[in-house]
Amino acid sequence: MQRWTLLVAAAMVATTSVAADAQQTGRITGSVTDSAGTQPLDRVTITVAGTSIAATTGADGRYTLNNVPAGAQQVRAQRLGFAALTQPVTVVAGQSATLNFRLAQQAVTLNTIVSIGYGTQERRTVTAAVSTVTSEQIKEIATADPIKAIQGRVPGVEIVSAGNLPGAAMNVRIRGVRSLTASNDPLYVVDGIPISGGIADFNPANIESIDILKDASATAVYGSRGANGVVLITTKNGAQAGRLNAQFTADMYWGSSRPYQLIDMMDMYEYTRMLQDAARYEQYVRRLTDPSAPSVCNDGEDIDCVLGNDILRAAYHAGRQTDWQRQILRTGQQRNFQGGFGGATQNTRFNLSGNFFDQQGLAIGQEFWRGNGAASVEHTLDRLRIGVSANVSRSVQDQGAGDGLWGGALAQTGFGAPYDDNGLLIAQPDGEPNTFNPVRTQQFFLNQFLRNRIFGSAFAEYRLLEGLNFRMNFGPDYSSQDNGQFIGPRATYPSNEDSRAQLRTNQTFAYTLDNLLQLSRDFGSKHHIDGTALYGIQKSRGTESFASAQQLPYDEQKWFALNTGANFQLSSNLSEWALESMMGRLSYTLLDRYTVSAAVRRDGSSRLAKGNKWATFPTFGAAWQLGDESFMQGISWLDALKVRGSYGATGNTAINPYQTQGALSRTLYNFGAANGFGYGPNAGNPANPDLKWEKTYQTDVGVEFGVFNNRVTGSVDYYKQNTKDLLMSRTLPTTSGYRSALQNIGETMNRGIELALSTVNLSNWRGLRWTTDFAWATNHNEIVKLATADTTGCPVNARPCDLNNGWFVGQPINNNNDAQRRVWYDYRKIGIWQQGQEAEAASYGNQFRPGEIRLEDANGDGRITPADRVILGNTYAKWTGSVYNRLAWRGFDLSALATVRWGYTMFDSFNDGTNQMMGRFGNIRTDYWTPENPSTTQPAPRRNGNVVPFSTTRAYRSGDHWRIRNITFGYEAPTSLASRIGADRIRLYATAQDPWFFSDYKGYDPENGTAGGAPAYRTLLIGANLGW
Amino acid sequence: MRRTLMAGLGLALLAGIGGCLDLEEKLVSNLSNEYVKTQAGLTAGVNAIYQQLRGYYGREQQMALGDFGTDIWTNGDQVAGGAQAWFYLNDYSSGLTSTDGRIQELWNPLYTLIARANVVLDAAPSVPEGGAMSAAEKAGRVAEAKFLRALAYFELVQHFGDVTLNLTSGALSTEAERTPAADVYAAIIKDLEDAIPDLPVTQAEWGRAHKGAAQHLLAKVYLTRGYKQFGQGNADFQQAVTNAQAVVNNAAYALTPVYADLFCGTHTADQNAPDPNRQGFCNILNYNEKQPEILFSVQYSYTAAQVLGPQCNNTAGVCGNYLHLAYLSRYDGDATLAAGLPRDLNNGRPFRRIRPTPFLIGLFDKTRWTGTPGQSDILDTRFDGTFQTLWIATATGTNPAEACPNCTSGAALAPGDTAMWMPGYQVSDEFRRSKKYVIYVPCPLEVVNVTTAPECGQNNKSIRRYGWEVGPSVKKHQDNGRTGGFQDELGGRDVILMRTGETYLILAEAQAKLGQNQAAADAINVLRARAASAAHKGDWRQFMEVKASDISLDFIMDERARELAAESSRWTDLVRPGPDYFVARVKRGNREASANVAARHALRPIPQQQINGVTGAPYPQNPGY
Repeated sequence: MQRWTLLVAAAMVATTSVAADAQQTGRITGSVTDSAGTQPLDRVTITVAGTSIAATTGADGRYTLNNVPAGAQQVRAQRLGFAALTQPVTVVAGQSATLNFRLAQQAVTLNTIVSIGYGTQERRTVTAAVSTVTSEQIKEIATADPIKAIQGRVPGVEIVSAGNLPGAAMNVRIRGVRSLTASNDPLYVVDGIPISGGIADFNPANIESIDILKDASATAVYGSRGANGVVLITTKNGAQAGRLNAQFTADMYWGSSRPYQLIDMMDMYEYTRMLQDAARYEQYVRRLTDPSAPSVCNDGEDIDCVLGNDILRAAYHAGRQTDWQRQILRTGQQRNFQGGFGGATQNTRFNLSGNFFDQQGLAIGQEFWRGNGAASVEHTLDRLRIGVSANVSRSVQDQGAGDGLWGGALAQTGFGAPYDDNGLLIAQPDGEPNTFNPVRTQQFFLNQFLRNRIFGSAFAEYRLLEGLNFRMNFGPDYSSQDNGQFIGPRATYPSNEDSRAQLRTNQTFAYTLDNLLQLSRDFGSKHHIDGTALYGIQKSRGTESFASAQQLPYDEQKWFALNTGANFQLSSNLSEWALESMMGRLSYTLLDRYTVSAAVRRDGSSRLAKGNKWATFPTFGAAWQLGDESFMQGISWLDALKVRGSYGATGNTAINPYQTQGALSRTLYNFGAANGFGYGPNAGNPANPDLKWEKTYQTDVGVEFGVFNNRVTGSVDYYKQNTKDLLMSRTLPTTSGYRSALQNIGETMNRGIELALSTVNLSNWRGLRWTTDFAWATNHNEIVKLATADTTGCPVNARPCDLNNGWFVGQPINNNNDAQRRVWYDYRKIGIWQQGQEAEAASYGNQFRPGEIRLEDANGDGRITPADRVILGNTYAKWTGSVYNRLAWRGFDLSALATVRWGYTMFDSFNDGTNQMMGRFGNIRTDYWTPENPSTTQPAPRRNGNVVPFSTTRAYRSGDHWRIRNITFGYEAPTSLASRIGADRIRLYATAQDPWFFSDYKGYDPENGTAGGAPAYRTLLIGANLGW
Repeated sequence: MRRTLMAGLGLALLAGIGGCLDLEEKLVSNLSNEYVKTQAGLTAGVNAIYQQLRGYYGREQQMALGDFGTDIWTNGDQVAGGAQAWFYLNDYSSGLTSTDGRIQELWNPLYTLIARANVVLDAAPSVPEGGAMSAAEKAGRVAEAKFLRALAYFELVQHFGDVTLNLTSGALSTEAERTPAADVYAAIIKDLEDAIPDLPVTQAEWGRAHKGAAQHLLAKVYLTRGYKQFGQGNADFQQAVTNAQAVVNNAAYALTPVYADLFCGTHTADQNAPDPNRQGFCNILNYNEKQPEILFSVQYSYTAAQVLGPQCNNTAGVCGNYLHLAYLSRYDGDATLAAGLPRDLNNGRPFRRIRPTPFLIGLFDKTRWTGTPGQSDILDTRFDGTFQTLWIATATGTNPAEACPNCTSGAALAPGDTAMWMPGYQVSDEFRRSKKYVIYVPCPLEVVNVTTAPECGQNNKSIRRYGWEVGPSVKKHQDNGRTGGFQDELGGRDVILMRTGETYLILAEAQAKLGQNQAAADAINVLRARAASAAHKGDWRQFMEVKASDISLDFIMDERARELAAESSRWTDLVRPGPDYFVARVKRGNREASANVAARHALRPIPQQQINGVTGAPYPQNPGY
């Protein structure tokens, strides 16, 4: 504390002496506009080369530079999202010179300003791999989730939806995954404030830019939390068009969604045929050993015999069946309303916006809506600039039975009916006790997530000297979530005669307080220094309370009168953590061509035990504007060329609060009717004071270029990450009373290449402009070292291994909780045993007969044993890519985004689950094996719930696919037309979201094929955009 | 300008807020080990030991390791293939390795139990006496902890032989070694002898260990050690006799007068039974679990708060009692089996994991299968007290008609009609045709070598024989008190671990080893008198009395089967006399296991998780695994 006061005071003393009297100086004034010269631009930084003189444009786009030394000067104008521009001017002492700028908008190009964490920097001199998505690009994707707007746009950033329910979270992975047990989610930073969790609560229309920090040179400034990459969000602030008076905007769209495909299930007659074939197969198998065995259901011909209960028989004879998917399906809907109001005066800028989004899913009871309001105000008073902003959101997600609803519909055989003759819902339509009427589930299974979030940020910035600012950020973040669940009697599995309800309430309050010293100065005409020093703290306090009850007297109460039930359960919990950080960063640029940077961050965390609380994360980087060298000037087609490299360390917040302490757990017991609660050590969590952060060491080499008059710009990056001190669960001798303990052992490695390319194919050909963005990335991931050195039972080339977790050295990380990160280890199916092969089949084990799946005897010992399991592939794509095309002609624009994911193996559990052929649950149409139909791909069916052995081996398949994510067609009316209704701007558009998918996959969701899930869908939207 | 300068100064002062940060963690929602050193903490610590009993007892592994692979129990159809493929625990085939999950879930929870007991026993000297907890009460809690630790080590040493003996709660180590079984037995005996004086004869809270439970356990420990080379021979058997007599002579532990009442309340199906002798299923709703004969039982409850916690899942082992699922025959969901029987709460959810061997069926009172079906003269009630053989239709339906022999006539059923019956004896075709219900009969009882009798194999549904899918269900664990409906897996019945009925058999076995055959016969006759049916309470000696000349180890094992079937102690009973005895008995009764079972199977493999977790000197595996 004291050192800071002293430092600041000292700096202030210095200020007064440096603000020296000006002699032989003049001033420069002017305005900055966009390239068309119509819109004034605010917040443009104007600097005089070789001096520390700087100014910022106001809302009217005007600026004034005072005390400029007389003579010829180079003046530079730069602003985020625009190409910087340097212009000469001659200043005469005591006079005012005028210099106006027109700045061209630029997306991902070389000469913009980018956010790099705790500040911005000119892209020219950035030593790190940073990708930027601007508001212009975000605007083109109609969505409620900002992350969805950048899906497929940034190489090395894989964004996959966690499901197809309305409001489903997005799963973001930057440059692969590193951790086996901890989170692989990136850190999100909103207006300089690191937040917990994602940014789904923010309104995409309110975002100015999203910068993604990918390498350690950029992320190390976030130290212990930077290993998984950092996503920086800058929200809009002030009048966007820089007008003096206020501006309104309104945007709305509406659309409807339909599933790609419904599943081709067996109808009642086909199902009966399968049961008959199963009976015949049963008889066939029995007669293999006992030729005189009695017939089963009269050779399967006795239909009443193969149909297991009266419901099935009655339906069959009446010819009455139900298509269960259509019973729960409806057309989905999306609506969005967005309005904004911004303005500015000389010293004050403000922005207000509101947004309402609502989506109805493909099934009743699956809905999402979100309301969002944001306000910001900023005021400049001489050296002091202060600002405050708030983002308030409320959302309600109704999941119902979630993905299970669809699984429940598919599990029905079609014989049952949803309603009985009295119009009442039937609990178990086809009499199978483990399935439930999905229509009933839809009505009596409620699961609601109500979230409130208030995120604020406030800052005060004081200019100590030209180019030296002291800034303080304060960011409180309050969120609450109520998760209420109500399950009516026998609305789902397991069958429960009583209704059940529960309410789980979470509240989290976190804040960040950062003190920053920011330096940006030229020294002479050759040297430029950017520096940042930080001291910051973060604290979070989360509480949870939970209550549940059964036997609720009436359904309408949902979870709002739990006290009227019985069998109560209660729990509550407090979780707190704190982080203290110091960081210093220095970047030095020589001749605007050579840049070196270094940063070091030191984090102290409450989560770790004494002795391990503090960790240091250093990084170094360098960049060279090779294209600016004189020997390159002869290459006329080359406009810019930059090479850069960096190395650094980051950490992963991989340890939960209190995890090192190993507390006693509350145990449940009873003595007769009396409570017998106790407290005992927790076998899975011994006290573990030695834990520390996982650390990732990353090297990145990149090239950025612009050629053919900047018609083609792009970047190529190669990176390699080594993650060490990986937290892994190490098994203990269980005679200790403990089963496992986390330890920092194990290593993983990631390496990959990323390519981003933007081309202007047609600049202005008869008024037509056509641009294309390509993104392409590879990522190779592997486990380098595990806790165990045990090679027993491991497959060849994957030793050692941890079979319990499915971890193999040399193979990618297998994360059982992340459907996108799996390694498949199983038997390999090589066909179906056929008649005539009885003896050969039986030699592999007595469960193999004609009609059964034939497995590869990988170790050639003549038996099928667990040792024959092999690695069958993984879900890590060899490469991913995207192509974005945009055509503009007069007021019309047309854009399309296509994404590709290639070279991976998926486990098609959807088809496995709906093709069990056990004569108990609904089944997809299958060409299964019978003695007369010797299928080579599908085994013989069973009945009475007997499982097909080794059924999973049928489900591994290539997941390669490409899809169109978005097509938008827009028309912007001429101003003359707009002004007739009093508006400045009218844009009408139509969007098709996820319209096509190219793969031969036959399931609900080809992309997320590992989970049963709800159907993927396409959405058609129409919208309008107004400004006045 | 001055104003902004002041603002800057103010800002600089605000910057100091960050200096107040404290990076120490405080446990609020939880407690540390120090809590056990308080009076309340001591009781909480002891309760936590009890809770760990639920990690093994009442779980599927108790059934799989207590009864599977013995002369009287073999696997059902839902273990034999498919997802539940751990039938190797029954047939001792090559799949039986150190990675089996059930063996691991015997080892792990009991070692966790021991670690909890060690925490309590190490903390106990620091716990103050007086106030809310008198010195005697404190000593009683310590004695409970020692009893539970002894129980866990006894279970472990019987299944695994030499095991790690750990009697203190020290720092975590990744090294471990196996202690000779002799030392483990010595530690068990010391714990129990320390505990017995401090334990009350009865406990105010039902389910806490009392003196009788500790004496029963000590008697069994001595009996078991008596057979071992490192044991004390007759001195051990004499100690077993002394401790067993202390229990059976104590009126506080008197036998329940009617055998069937030990496990069931009123039998709901009584009035419909063609054989009105305690047929149908147990009605747990009218059941008293607090019977003096029940010396020690692992407590379960239907009260969610006492059962359902955040760790509640099947493997963590802290939820309901799962035994009600395992021992049931198929009766539902298949019209070729019997009509009118949709799955319901009373008949239970049949997981069909385990079924009685023909040998077990044959051990019971044979008078019934010589007489007229339906009206047999029953001497010994223990068959009907153990098995459900009658299913009453709860829905309409039509029983299947099939060609004779072994046919039924096929008939429409209404709720309340008998739908299926499994007498323990053969019936004539005429009798079958005269009934609307489906009849299943055992394999021929005269079969000596089950391996050569195909009719006793696998799935005999179509020929109406007891098979791996269909056979008498076990009543002893049936649970129609479950609150969540017929699919609910969370049973609330207690698991009986020790009862005076078994104490008599321990006494008899020890007396027989000492050559006191008359005394052994007298002990067994106490159980016989209780088992006699109401009609024969007067003349039971004429038919059922055991003579000194009857006494042999085999006879006592047969009697244990009759008295204790499905109480999950068969496997440890068979290995007690030694591996050769175990192998001979298994070969005699268990068709599936007879081809594979060998002397090495009298010990379980040490779980691989334990072996993998040890650093330094390797942890030795048992021979043959």
